[in-house]
Amino acid sequence: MEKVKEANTRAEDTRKFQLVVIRLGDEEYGLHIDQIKEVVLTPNITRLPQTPNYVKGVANVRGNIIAIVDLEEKFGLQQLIENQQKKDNYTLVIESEEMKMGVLVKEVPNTLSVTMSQIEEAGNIVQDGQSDQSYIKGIVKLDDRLVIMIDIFKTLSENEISGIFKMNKQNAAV
Amino acid sequence: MSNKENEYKELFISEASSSVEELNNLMTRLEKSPAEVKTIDNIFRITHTLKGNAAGMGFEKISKFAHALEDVFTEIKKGSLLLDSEIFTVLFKSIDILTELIDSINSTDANVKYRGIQKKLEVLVENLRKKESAASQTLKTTYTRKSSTTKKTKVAGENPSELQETIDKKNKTDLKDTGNAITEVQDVAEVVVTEETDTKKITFSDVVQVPVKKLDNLLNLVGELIIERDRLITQHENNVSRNEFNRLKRVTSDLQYSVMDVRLVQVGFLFNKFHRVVRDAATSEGKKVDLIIEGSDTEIDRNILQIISDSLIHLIRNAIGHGIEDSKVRQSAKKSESGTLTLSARNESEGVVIDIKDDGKGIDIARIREKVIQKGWVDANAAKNMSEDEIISFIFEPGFSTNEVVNSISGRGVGMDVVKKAADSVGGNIKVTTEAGKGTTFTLILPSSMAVKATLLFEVGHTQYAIPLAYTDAVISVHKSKILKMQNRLMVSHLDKTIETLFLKELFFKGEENVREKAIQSDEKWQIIIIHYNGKKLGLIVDKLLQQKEIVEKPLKKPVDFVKFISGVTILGNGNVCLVLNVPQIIQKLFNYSLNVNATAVA
Repeated sequence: MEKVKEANTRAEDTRKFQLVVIRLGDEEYGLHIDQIKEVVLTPNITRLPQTPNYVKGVANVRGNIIAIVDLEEKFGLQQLIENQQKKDNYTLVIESEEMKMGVLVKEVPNTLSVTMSQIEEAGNIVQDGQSDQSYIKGIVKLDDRLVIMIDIFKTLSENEISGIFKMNKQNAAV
Repeated sequence: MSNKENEYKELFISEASSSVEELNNLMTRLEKSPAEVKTIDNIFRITHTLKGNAAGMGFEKISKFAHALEDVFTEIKKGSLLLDSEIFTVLFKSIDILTELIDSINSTDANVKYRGIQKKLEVLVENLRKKESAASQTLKTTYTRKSSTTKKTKVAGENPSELQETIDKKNKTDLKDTGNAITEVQDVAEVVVTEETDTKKITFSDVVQVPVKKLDNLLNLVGELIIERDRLITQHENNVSRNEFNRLKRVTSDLQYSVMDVRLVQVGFLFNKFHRVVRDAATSEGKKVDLIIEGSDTEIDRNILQIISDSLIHLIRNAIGHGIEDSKVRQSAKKSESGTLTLSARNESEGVVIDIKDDGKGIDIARIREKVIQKGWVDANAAKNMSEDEIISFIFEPGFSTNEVVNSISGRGVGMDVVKKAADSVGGNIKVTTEAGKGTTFTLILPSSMAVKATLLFEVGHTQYAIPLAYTDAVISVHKSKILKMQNRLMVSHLDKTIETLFLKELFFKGEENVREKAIQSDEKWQIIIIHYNGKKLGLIVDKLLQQKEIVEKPLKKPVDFVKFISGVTILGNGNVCLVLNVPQIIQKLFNYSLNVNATAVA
């Protein structure tokens, strides 16, 4: 019994899967490759009112109109790159059944092959009470690299975007 | 279920629904003039067809129910069943059940209670038949028996024993007839026979039924084609001669208008359903109401018709419930005993105009004024100075209607904001005119097609926006010295009216850069677009006015579909995204906000 179980876990541990790694600030974030549709040159973005600042607006990608977000701004990583001239050259188009949107990135993302055993569960991360960080799924440690695995749709769910907007509005009203 | 079967099912449902609808109309007509043989014949024919079709599709319940109904009408045709109000109640009820049965085809869990009423119909016929067999046969009964038998032959195979039975009966009665009667019967038989051979020929109708979904899809594709065309043309404008694209332009425009044209349906399609609505509402209120329908051949986009259908029902019920008085009051006011409700549609340059007009007592403006003051929306002095139109427009305010006191006093305004919203959602408008003692008219102005919107393009901060012309009053260009400052607000006067004005940029992207200061420093004229909604006006200051353009609007998708100020987007020739302003939302938001502020200030 015990042995079978062990073998199972081991098989799972050695199963490889692909991550797409993007650089935000000077941290690396990993997204499951299934969630990514394509990488395109960032199109012209039209600003949208009534949205939080990290929603940069909407853009036309191959006839589809998608919302474009800046995760650096969302995660508060901007101050780290203050002096660096910001260039969001590429847009990572992510897609689920429900929605489609674009994430701004500075360079073409890399892919990374990892096994389950290399992922540390997110349980060990201190949840800071301020914001919901359940979108962090785990951490991958590779030599001197640290890749934070996130569930991109949890980060940018509708609730999140409209909810934060409403909060801002309340604050403004007070 | 295979696709084909599904398609047949859809066809049956659509046909059956229209049959039932027609039944409703005929029944109301029959109730008014019970002696009209033609109406009875028509009803008979429709129930018969419905029965046959349902049997063919294997919908036993519907088939049997229609059969029971048909039997009743056989008796009515014979004249052996007297049409009194009780019978009509049963008949109307049974038509309702028939509708429910048809509706239940598509839902799996529906459990329509139809047996009770079916039994009632069956008993009705049975009793009559018993009586009849006792009485002597008349010429008239032979007549109908004959024709009903031949009709039954058409659906032969359905129930051979029943057929045999009827044939036997027929023979018996034939024997009893006098010679004179026989020749007459033969005449009838001849007519029926020719009718039969006619129907045996397979004919193809010139009309194809297409599911709306397919049309929607087609329209979307055409919309995208137009956007793509504009993009290509802009891209290559400088390289090739303009004529190069003329043909493409023409063909795509023709295609667009053809597709839009296909989606148009006659308003009569909807209006005819209202005979029943009026009848029911009038009966429950104990009032007499005549419905007059005008311009039912006016054409409008099917989806728009669907969206506003509930609103129309609402307006009709309101007109009957609160507008039209009961007969006694009417008589003492020297009006005709029964009220008249006129439903008319016509094409005008701004789109399709639908009037719902009653000759009732009109809206009590004083009551509304009272209510508005009581609610604290406007203070008493201001309310006194408001024009009647301004006061009436309050009935469309959300929250106005929910108050019970309003319902019992002014009567009108139950859910009027919902009606207004429905009209807005298709880019339409609603107006009210009322005259005390003479009646009220609600006018719905609707675009004839949702596909293209006429808009005005303008620029703010190097971004292009579109604003629907339906909500645009005027475009003015004024020097800053003409702008009045009131506290922190800007006012501009236009055609003797003072209109609050604001920078669109300030509204959209609050506190970003000091737009106002910049504008005040420069010496250029300000471009102001005056928009209106529900009688309220607002000026929007923009950077630059561009052009008028017909656009194909697409809705915002998740996760940004909650943005209220923008109703949708369109793609410009250069591939950029252009936002379309949602004027009703903007005005409602701003004015509600100030209403609230006023209310708290008063409190």
